[in-house]
Amino acid sequence: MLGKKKDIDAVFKTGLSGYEIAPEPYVWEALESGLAQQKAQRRTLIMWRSLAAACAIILLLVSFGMFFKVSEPTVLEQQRFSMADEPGESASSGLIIDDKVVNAKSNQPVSISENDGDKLAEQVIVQQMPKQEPNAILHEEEVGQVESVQLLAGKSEIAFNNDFNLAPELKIKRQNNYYPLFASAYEAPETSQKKRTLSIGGVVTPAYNSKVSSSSPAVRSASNSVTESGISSLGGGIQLRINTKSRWSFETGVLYAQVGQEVAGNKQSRSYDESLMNAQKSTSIEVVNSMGAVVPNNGRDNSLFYADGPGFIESTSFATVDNIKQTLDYIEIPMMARYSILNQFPYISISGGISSNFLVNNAAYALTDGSKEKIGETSDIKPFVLSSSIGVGVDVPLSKVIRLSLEPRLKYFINSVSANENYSFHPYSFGVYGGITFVIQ
Amino acid sequence: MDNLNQIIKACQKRKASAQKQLYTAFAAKMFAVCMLYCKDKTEAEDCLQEGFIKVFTNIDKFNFKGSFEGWVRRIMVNTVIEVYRKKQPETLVDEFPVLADDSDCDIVDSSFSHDELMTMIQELPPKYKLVFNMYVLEGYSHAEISETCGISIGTSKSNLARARQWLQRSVNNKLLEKKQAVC
Repeated sequence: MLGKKKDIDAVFKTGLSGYEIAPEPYVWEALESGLAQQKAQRRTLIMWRSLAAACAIILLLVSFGMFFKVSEPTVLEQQRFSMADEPGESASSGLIIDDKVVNAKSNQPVSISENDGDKLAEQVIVQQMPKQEPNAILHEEEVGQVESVQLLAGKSEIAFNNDFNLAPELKIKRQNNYYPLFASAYEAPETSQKKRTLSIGGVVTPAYNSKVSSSSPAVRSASNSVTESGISSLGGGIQLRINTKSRWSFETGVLYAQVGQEVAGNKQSRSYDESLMNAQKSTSIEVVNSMGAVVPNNGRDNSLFYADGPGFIESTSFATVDNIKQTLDYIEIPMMARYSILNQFPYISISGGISSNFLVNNAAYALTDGSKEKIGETSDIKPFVLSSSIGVGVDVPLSKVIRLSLEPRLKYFINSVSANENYSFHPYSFGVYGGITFVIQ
Repeated sequence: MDNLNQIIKACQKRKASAQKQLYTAFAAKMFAVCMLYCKDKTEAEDCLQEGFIKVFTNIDKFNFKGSFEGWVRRIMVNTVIEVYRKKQPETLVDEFPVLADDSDCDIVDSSFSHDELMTMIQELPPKYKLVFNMYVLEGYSHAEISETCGISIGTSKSNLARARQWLQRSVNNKLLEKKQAVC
């Protein structure tokens, strides 16, 4: 009687143990062809991964290089050239050359101190000027001989050391398979159904920034002598992505981004005018371009400007520094939607969305011989603006939970960054968002 | 055993000749496993091919600590289940009450051939066949079957009970046929 369950189990278990059925030969032929195809795919995969890894390394190196180059301000103590209280006196007794001053004719480094009346005297390190230039220094005793007065622009005395001592071997661990389907302790295969996941990652973003601008006729007239060009910047931050069960995913995060421009041809010569002298003292002279007016920082004199001419004689003229870089630093909170157009390697997706940008820094720098010095800021910049972004991303899985991602993205500021209605300045940037993403849930 | 290890190591280096040797060594056993689960020979051949591709793709992960045959067999069974679930996802989720035990025939011994046993299993409805094979022949627990097949533990138990009843009836019928043939 087969009354017990175990008996029927034993009949089949014992009876079928060691049972074999030889498959047809064509099964091996089909299998062999499948393996050959897989081998070819594997080669392609290795090539893609190597390429992606190389791109990521280059991107990181370039990013580090750019970061150290753009974030290190020139350290210079510069004498602010203060004109005498009375314009009439400024020519004759406004300045005193202290003991450290060496006449420019000898081409030695000099220091300039201000007269006793001005308590804002600071030390200055002045670069050695080329012999060809007429570097006359204003001196009480040589007043009649001095043909020009010039505040000497700083030059960086810090040589950037680009020999970063990076790890000698940046090794990328390459796995042979995307997903370990079968571990030694074999696990059940995953279902083909896509799960909802949460991933977090860090990105680095080298970008090129330019702008779309327009301004009022008055501004155009004031700024028509300048030449504006885009700047390179480095950003980055943390991104959070929610992958839904469908092809859609959504992203947010906290990113740092910089926009701005370089302006050349700011140097302006004007005939001596007392009102101009006074204007300079009262910091009312501005450098104007399409982004806005560059104004000195609060509590600071017009270090933007220097006298360039015969000084107190008959026709002193003024000029601004020639090259200026204006930057706006933002903390960006993106709200992006992403649609996966290829759900297998190389995992291509398109993204788009809106970002909130909160201004955290507004600066203008004088650029001189490869160095820069902060001289002020751009006026009337909005503290908050919106931007839109579109991009095409490629993900390269390194393991089940780690992915390398690379996404060229175009960002355009929907609002003008300037609150002044005379200026309409919409920055845009093209950046490559590269980083590593971890699936955390 | 040493020879098998050498073949495995050569397969880990993606050597085609070793892959063929490995296939030759295990194909017949694994094809029998596939035939136990699949509805026909063609489906079993597809599963065998797909299973061996997984074996060769993931052979790097075999660490020589357990039975290689057991490792390959698990891959085959999981491949079959995966295919089964894709084709017949609805057949695993219904539940029926367990029928009363109506067996009334003795089995003196299990004197059935491989083919007879295989035929009886293949005649089982797919939902019963899957659970019976996994539980009895492969040694999965109900919890594992539940997780692997995406069914409840109760469904797994009831399907197993009905598979046993079905097979018991098949065995009894077969015995009856044999007795009548002798008489």
